[in-house]
Formats: sequence, structure tokens, C-alpha cells
Amino acid sequence: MSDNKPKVAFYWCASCGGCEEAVVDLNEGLLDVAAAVDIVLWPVALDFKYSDVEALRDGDIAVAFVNGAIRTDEQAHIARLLRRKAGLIVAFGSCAHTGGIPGLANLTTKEKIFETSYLKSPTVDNPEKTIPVTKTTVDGVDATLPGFWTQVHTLDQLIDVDYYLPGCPPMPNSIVDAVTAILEGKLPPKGAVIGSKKALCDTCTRTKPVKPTLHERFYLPHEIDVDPEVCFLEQGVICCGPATRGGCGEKCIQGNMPCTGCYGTLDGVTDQGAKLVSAIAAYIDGDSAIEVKKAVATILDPAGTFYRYGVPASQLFKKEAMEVTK
Amino acid sequence: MTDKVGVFLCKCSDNIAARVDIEQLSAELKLEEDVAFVKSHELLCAGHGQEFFEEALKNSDISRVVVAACSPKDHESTFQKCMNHVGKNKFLMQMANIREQCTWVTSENDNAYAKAKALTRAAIRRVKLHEQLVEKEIDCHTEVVVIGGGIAGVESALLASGDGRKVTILEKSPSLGGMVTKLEEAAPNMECAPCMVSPRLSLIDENDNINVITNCDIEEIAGYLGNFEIKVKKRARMVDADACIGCDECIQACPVEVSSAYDYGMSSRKAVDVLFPGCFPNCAVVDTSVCLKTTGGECNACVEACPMEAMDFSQTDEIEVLRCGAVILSTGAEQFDPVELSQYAFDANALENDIYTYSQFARLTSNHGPTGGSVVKQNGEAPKRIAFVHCVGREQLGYCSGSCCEAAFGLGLAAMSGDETTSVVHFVSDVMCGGELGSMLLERVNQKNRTRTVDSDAMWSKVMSGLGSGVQEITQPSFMVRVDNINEVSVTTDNGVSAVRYSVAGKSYGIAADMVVLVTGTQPSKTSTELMRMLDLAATRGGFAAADHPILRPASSSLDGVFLAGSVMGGKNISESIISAKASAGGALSKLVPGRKLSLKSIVAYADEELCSACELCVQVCPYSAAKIDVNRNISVINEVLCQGCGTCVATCPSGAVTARHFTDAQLDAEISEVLHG
Repeated sequence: MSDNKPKVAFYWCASCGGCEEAVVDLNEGLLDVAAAVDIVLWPVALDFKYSDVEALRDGDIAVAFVNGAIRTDEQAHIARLLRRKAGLIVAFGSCAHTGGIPGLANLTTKEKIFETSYLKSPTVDNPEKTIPVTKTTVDGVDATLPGFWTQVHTLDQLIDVDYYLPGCPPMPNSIVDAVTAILEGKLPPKGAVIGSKKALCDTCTRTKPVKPTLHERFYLPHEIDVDPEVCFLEQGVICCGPATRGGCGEKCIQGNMPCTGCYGTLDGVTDQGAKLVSAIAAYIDGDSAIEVKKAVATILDPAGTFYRYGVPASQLFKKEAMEVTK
Repeated sequence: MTDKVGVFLCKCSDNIAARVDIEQLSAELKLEEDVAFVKSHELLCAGHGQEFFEEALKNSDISRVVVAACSPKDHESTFQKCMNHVGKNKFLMQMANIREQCTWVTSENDNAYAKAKALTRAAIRRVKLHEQLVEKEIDCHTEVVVIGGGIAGVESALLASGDGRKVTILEKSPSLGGMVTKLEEAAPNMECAPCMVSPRLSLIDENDNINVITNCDIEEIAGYLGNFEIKVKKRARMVDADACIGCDECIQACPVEVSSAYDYGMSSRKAVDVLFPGCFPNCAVVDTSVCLKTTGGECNACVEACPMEAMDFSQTDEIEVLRCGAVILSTGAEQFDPVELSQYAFDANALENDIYTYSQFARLTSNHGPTGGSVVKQNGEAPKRIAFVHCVGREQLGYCSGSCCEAAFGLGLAAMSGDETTSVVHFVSDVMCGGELGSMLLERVNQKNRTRTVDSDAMWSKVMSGLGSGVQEITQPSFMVRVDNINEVSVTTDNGVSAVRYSVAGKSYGIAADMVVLVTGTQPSKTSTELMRMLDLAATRGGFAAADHPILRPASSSLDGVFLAGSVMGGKNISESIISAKASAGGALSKLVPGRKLSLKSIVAYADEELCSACELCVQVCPYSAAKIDVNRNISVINEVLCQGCGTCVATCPSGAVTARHFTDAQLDAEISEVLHG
């Protein structure tokens, strides 16, 4: 390992591993990256110890890519450590960016999650009703576990983040673009989200109606025969495209599935879900409150539809977010 | 210039000062970093208060001001004017409502004080982010275009042209006058309709400010108050309108006869014809779809017959583009077509069986109608009994048209003015024929009907026997029968005599009639619907043009600059049509004053083209049709003339691309954050 190559760290917090997979999906491109950089931490692929990172000088790592949301003491500890050691922190993927799928856990409580996972799940056999605690003594030996927080947080609610690579997971071309920009020193303004400045609709090739049609009800994609040439919203299928940053290459749209919003909101919008709700409201037809309620009732799981990737980043959790920052 | 804020606190006599210690608030606010000065006054809105306000600002370098006083609904404009007087931008003034929202809503002085302080501080934060908005003015056209030359269009044009304003009337048919020209006597006071219309058309003719284009179609119409553009297709008349004197030599000579739509198929007309005697312009027109010469045949009869050499077959359709500042839409309505409903026997043989719509029947009463004004059956005999079935189509249309009862009673009265043995009976549920004149009309019909005796000859008994048992003839019907359910009244017909079946108080009856008149409801005309679509006007449930506010602004459409006159808004009698016509003309006149510019609202929305992805949601939600997609640039453009600053698109825009001036996210966030966390 040569010292003149920039040091790079990859880390995962509360995530599914899909972001790691996205890095591996670079295929041969990964070799180019690996050749150009000196990887100092990548728990999923290489055997480094936290102590190796702690031993580095502050600011020694050129860039750290952190995926996953923050929920445990360990994740917070490493995130803070990387912030200290790295010149640049890139929030990698939806979970680090806006909270992602793990962020939906903010709609329930820590206690309920433990109850479901450790006591009530059909496959759990736990007669002593043991649930995780941070410290316990077994046969005179102290054993510890990282603390499980009451809420899921985005990375930037905990540490200062330089760039965001959105997506669940980020598209390989976005990753290459970001890494290349960093390696070549062509850095966008701090805080930039790597992607389009416009919503997905900008590049969507489906035909838009002259005037959007109003719907008496909404459908899930499998409930109707979705016309692959026509705007999903026109067909009554909720598509998050209008409120979601473009730049992903519209893989879902091309696969005849609506956008679920993983690239997050656009610059200047504070709450993707709220924006989606007002956008979708414009598609609802009804002369009375009852008719409108009927149409709204056909939207199953509104929180999961409108806030699938963004509960912790939303206005709804702004207060909690402020508390953790303090 | 300083960025600091000048703060004025109003005591509003004791309205505010009794609960909020203004001296203490003043002392506290003076410590704020952003505050240049705090001045308090007993009654800032009073004359001496305004002088105090202006004096404090006149020679100061303060540009941003907070007034903590009453609701902005009360005095925002007062202090905005004061800002203008001292040469400051009025949009750099923000009011904090410390009266209605503080002292008037609590008896706790501490709470009132805390809230007054929070709201004033929030206003200070907000006004720091205000932009100096510019009040724009645009030139505007003062001409008025009236679309539809019926009585409503004619009357609005006459009034609108009164002060020398240029007015153009566009009419689809070859003549002005509209539906009223088809009547002989107009309800409710049975005045001679042609005598009312002709002098009005003459006034149009004499008026140099009114330009009339008949026989035309509107291809495109778009714009906003002060600036509309209308593309008109003038259909070739094949007659030189300046040369034609309206004699009927060409008509006599023309060998082609076709069914007359003006008479609803009850008479024929020639391929070259006038719409009705005394039409305006008094000029013949060739129906090129049936004329032998224009359909490839050999004929020159009209050309040879015309003494004025007015026939001109070299004419082609012409396009003219008109510009105007206001549009008066008076395109009228249509009658419901009872063909759709089998219960009335209004089939292909309806005329043979003497079953008419009331529009058709009206032509029978007209002196220039198919029977020369005699109400007679198809066989030429006078009818003995005419049954008027009201509310035809009401259930299908979903509303009461409001004007048909009166017209039908009028026709009934006109029908009895001929043969002494003719009686009428109206089958009704609700009667919409009110007011003094309407009541008098009902009384006249009733009285006249009482003088008639019912002839019970063999004709009736034959029909009666066919009605089955349990059905009895009413020998002396009143002129009006209130039935249980008007939608269940049915008509059957047999050998020239019809039976009307109905029920009263749960019992079934039937009577014979040798003429049946179906009083059909009013529905939007196709022309009106198409124009409403082009202008994106709001519609009522029934599809008529909707008033901007049905009570307060009944002659304004949803688009500023487009006014509504007559039945385009739904069924209207003649006087109602004329009232709305005058209201429309008044609205247009007051908005478009020659030489005066049109000042635009400053607080409007705009779309950032860097962020907009043309998802079209703003277009969908905008109630003023101000948002449109620029297809070349693939972005939304919000027309600042049409935008009323309601903010609907701002809330809807999922990309955060639309911003409302003076209500930006940053301004609102600063204000709210200060109240919540300050």
C-alpha cells in the first residue's frame, strides 16, 4: 500500500447491504477504483480493525463513504470517528441520506420493536423474555452491546456531511461519477446531492396527459394492466417521480414500475412526503369530502408510500433530529 | 441604507395598551440586534398617527419597517400607502397583529405580552428577508368582443359601445337576433318579440363603433384581461354583403330546397336564403353544402336573378385575428332533445302525430313561421286541446332550467288566441313562473282557458277507450294539472290523437290531446362548451359557464376579462338575459379605461426553470389558468397577469420549483421559527 494514494473508507450503519452490493456492482470498474485508492476500512469485504482507523492521523482519510442510517451507539461512534479522520464524508445511499427503509421504524417505538423481535415473533423461543441491554454480567464477566437508540437518524443529523449520493442503492454510474469527481478534485459545492437538479419527470419518456386526469381511486401496479407508455399517475398508480430527484436513469420506470422516491427530495424542498401528498391530492376527484375520503382510502399505507425513504429527514421528526445534534 | 428594522408599536388607545405594556415591549425590542428604533403611538392609523409614522421615516435610512398593531386586513394598506408617501417600498413593511391575535383573545396580560413580543419579533425576522417587489403595469386593449349575437350579445354590445368604445360582435349564424327572433310574443307580458328586437338591430346598424361579423366560427381564443386574441374564420357567404339589398330574387330563383334548421325541420328553405325576414345584416347567404354551383353542379340561377350583381362565388373562407381587452360570452344554450326518452313518443313520426318540442311550437305561433302564425295541426285543422308536458329532461339534466315554465305558459296563451275552441292543459310539478309579471301571465292563461268548453266528440272517446279501465277523462280540465311525478308522465299516440297519461294523488288518469308540446329543459350549447374549453372557464355541474361568484359576481366568469351574458350561464328569460348583458358590459367598461394602464398584482408565483420538470401539477391545480407548460423549454411558465397569488401551485409543486413572491419558504420559515424557538 502506497502512501501517496488517497485513503478511502467504506462503512455501513443501519443498512441492508444493498449499498455494498452497489459498490461490488461496479464490476471491472471496482478494480480501477481499488487501484487508484488505498482502502483503509471496508468491514463487508476487507479485514480491518477499528483500531487501525483510530491509529490514523486526523484528516488522513481522503474520503469516507458511509451508508446506512444511525440507530446504535456503535454506528454513531464510528461515524464520529470517520468524521474526525476523513477530509470528506459522503452519505452513501438513501439510509445515510434521508433515513431510508430503516427510518420507517420511527413510526413505532423501540419498545415495540424489541417486543416484536425478541418476544412475539412466531419463530422466537425466549421463555426468559430476554431483550438486549447494553451491559450484563455472565459468569462474572461483563458483556456489552452497543445501545439501541429510540429513533433512527440520518447521517447528517449526527455529523457534518460533505456530499450525498442518493438512491436505494445509488446507481453505479452515480458512484463512478462521484468517485471520479473526488479523485480529480472536481468537487461540487459542499452539501451537494449528486444527481439531477430536476425531478424524475424531467427525463421520463412516458407520455404526459395534456391535463392530468382526476382519479376516483388509486391502484397498486399489479391491480391494473399498466400501459408502459403512459404516465403512472395518469393511470391512477402512485408514482413518486414528481417529488423525487432525477439522475437515477429511471430503471424502475423502464421496468414498468412506478418511482418509489429513493433519490429523495429536490433542493429547497424540506419534506418529500408532504410534497407528494399535495401533489397526489391534485389528482383526486370528488365533489364532497366523502368522495375525496373514499379516494384517499384506496391509498394503502400512506406513510410507506409517501415517506418510504425519508421519515427521519422529514419535518415530522425535525425536533428529534435537533435534539440528537445538540 | 441600513438593514436594520424600524419598529412601530400602536397602543390602539387601550385596545392593545390595556393588556400589553407597550413601554416595556419597546424597551425589550430596542435591545434586539436587528432593530434600529422602536417608536410607539396612541393610535397609529389616525391622521396624526400616520403623520408620526411618515415623519419618523421621511429622512431616515431605514428601509424595513414592522408595524405591531391590528390585523393587516384593517390597516396594511394604510401603512403601505404611508411607505409609498415617504418613498419607501411598501413590500418592506410587515404587520404584527398584536390586537386581534393577542389582546382580544385573552384576559391574561402576561400571555398577551408574551405573544405580542413573539409575533413582533417574528415580523422583524421576516421583514429582513422581504424583497423590494415592483408594481408592474401593462398596456391593455380597450376594445370589447362580444361572442354570440342573440339578445344578450346585442344589448351588451350596445351598452359597451356607448362611450365610443369599439365593439365587435361575432355570430355563428348569418344573422344577429338569436332565439328571440323565433318568437311572436314574448312571455311574460306577451310583447311582440320582433318589435322589440328590430329597433335594437337598427341601432347596431347605425352605430359606427360596432363591427358585426356574422356567419363565422372561432378557431382560437386565448388571453387575459386587457389582452385577448381571437382567431375568427369568416365563412364565405358567396354574396357581396355591401351590394345585397335583401330582396328575395335569388331565393325565388334557387332550385334547391332543403329542410330549415331555423324552423326545426318544419319548413323548407332554399340553398340561397335569408335566415328570417328582417334579419341583420339583411343579406342573403349561400349554403355551400347544398348549393348546386358549389357542389359541382351546373346552376347559375341566383347569379342571373340578382338585380344588384351581388352574388360572388369567388369568395373563400377568410381568417381574421381580433385583439381586445375583454370578452363578453353570450353564446346561449340549447334545448334538451327528447328523442332520447321513449316515453314521449318523440320519434321520427312525432311531427306527423302533432307532437312538438316547445321550440318547434313557438315557430307555429310566429308570423314568419312555417304556418304563417296559425297554430294548426299538420292536417291544417285547428287543435281542440293542446297538452303541454313540462320538465322534459329535467331528471336527465339534473336541474330545473328555470325559464321554460314561463315560456310555455306564454306559448299556451298564444295558442289560444287563434281558434275559439282550442284549450290548453299544462302538466307540471313545480311552477317556476313567479314575480308580478309571471303571476299575471298565469292568471291570463287561466282566465282564457275558462272561456273554452271541452268538446267531447267521438275523437276523444276513441282514445279514451284505448287507455284501459280505471282511467277517466277529466271533462273540464283546469289549465294546469299538478301531477304526482312529472318524470312519469307519458305520451302515446294513435291515428293523430295522442293520450297523455299521468297520476294525481296516487290515481292514474289519461286525457286525449290532438297536439302535445314537450317543454324541454335547457342545456349548454356545443358552441359555448367549446369556447369554455378553449378559455379554460370553470363550469357549473350542468356544464354551463360558471359565475366567478354566483351571488356577488354573477356576470364575471372564472377568468378575469371574460364576462357572461344570457343563457350561456343557464336558462334565462329575455329580461334576465338583458340584465346580465348590461352587467357584463358594465364590468368590461369599468375595467378597461382608455389611456389607463392595467396594474398587475405584485404578489404572484413564479416557477424556477432550473428546478421545474414540467410535471404539470401546477397547470392542474391553478384556478386561474395562469400556469401553462412551455413545450419547447419543457418547463412551467406562470403568467403574471393571470396569477392571483393564491399559492395553490406553490403548495402543490412537488419539486419546490414554484415560489410565491412575498410568501417564500425562507420568509415563512423565519417567521414561524422565531415564534416557535425564539
